Amino acid sequence: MTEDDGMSRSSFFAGVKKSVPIMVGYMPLGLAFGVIAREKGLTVMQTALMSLTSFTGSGQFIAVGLLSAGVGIPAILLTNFLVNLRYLLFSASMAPVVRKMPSIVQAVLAFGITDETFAVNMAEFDRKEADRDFMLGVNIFSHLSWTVNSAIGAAVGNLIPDIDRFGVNFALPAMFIALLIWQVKDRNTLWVAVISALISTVLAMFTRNSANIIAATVIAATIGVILCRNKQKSTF
Amino acid sequence: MIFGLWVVNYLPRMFPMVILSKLRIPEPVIWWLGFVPAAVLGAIIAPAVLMPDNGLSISFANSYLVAAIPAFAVAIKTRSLVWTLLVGMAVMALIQV
Repeated sequence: MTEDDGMSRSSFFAGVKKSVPIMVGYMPLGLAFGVIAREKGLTVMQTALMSLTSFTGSGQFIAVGLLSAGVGIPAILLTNFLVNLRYLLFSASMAPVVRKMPSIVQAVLAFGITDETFAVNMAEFDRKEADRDFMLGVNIFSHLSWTVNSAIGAAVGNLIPDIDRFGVNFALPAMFIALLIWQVKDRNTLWVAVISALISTVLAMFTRNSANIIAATVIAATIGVILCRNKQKSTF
Repeated sequence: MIFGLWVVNYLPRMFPMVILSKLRIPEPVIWWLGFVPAAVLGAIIAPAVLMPDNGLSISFANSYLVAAIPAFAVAIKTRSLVWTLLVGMAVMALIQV
């Protein structure tokens, strides 16, 4: 990291280079989100604004899905918060490597945290001081790809009749499946996911509007802690 | 709603990094937080795949369930978000032809 506030161009572009797989990965996701958002009644501007401010694939898919299902905004926000609780963990685990940066810089870098940028940045700075400009390069270009592709999806989505023919209706489950597989790092986590899936499915037979997701998550995560306690070993 | 989404998505990203580094969290709380993502995802995927029309449907007639099988296989094999998405969507598109 540079001593003054001057920007290191080479670090920034090294980050941009590392963000290319993320940018490519966000292309179909962003397009799919844009198409779905438009399908559910959002304008191109609203879609782009949501991608720019929220910058969360799963959360935004859930938001437009629940919105079109007639779910109230407080429930949508609560579901988003719970689904993205992992950002708390990402943020917390990044804290040590950005410890020496001013709070304002940390706050800017935190805006760009996603599953993918977290993975790339932490792979670069595992247990050593982070480079502000590298992280900015990764975050800004990933964010740009997400926002631009969302807008394109929303702009052209309505030109494609019956978009579900192309399997877009499975984009969301497919993405969650991949994210879940990333999360399953050990036997306890696998059990928690399976238990949560069972509880959620059973509850979904009686309730709607995502209460099943919240209840299943709280119960299954608690069971996970009990499993950890019994085995006296952490999952980290 | 867009403003609300910004708030619920930004604050959880920002506060831990800026503040939490100075505190110590009890270990069981860290474990609990660590299980939340997997639990949330399991809780979302299962009903979406097993009961797409609000009724439990475990059969080949359920296109979501059929598409989920290759999606899981690809996700486990490649750990790639893009490939899982492409294969899952392709299978779903083929089923719906």
